[in-house]
Amino acid sequence: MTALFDNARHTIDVGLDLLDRQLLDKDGLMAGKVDDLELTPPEDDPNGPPFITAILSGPGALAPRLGRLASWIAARRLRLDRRPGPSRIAFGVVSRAQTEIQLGVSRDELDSTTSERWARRIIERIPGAA
Amino acid sequence: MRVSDILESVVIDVAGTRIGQVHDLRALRDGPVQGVFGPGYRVQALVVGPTGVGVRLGFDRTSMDGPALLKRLFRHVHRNGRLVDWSLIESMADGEIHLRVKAADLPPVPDR
Repeated sequence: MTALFDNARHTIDVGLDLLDRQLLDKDGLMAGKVDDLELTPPEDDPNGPPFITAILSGPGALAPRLGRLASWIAARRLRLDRRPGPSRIAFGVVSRAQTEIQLGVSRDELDSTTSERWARRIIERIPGAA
Repeated sequence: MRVSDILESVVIDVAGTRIGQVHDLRALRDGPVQGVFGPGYRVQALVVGPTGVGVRLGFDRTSMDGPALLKRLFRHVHRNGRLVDWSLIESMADGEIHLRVKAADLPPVPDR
């Protein structure tokens, strides 16, 4: 596989260039936002500069940036959904990271849109909603 | 570890002087190849400053387009911002980051 270089900037400021960006799936449909990012240290140096390894999105991902009350609410929300944590999208499925973050997978394959799918099932049953 | 674990952490130099808070993380695309994305991002440094006003708008960095007056204002506000290379971090816990150097030895934040 040929490594891509022109699908994202070489040097970024993570908060400015990645956080809160819109996620688009392979069909161009909205698939959540970049609420947080997972950092992983190098295997051979636990204190070394970490790599960005995943996008965290959906319930439970944004809350730590909003304070203790938001974290408390998110923790209960995740418990109700019986989920251990926020949705994790491996950075390896990102095909382009510019104004928007383009993914190489369908949003139906992502946990980050679970709430939206759940809400759609409810709304679809309301007369006149279709 | 998450990015949110680091953002807004208080940064303290080797002399115990509070430098400011982490406003952003600078990353370079020189990590291992990750799937279809290609070479991944490695965190190179922390963008640290005494005030966070305007940081998320990017007006403190000259590479960001925007109204000239706002850019000048925010660049003045952030003139004491410093770039902390990851290798200069001594410890990181409970919202505090301790460095192994003095604040005076840190470079200003260069453009991306």
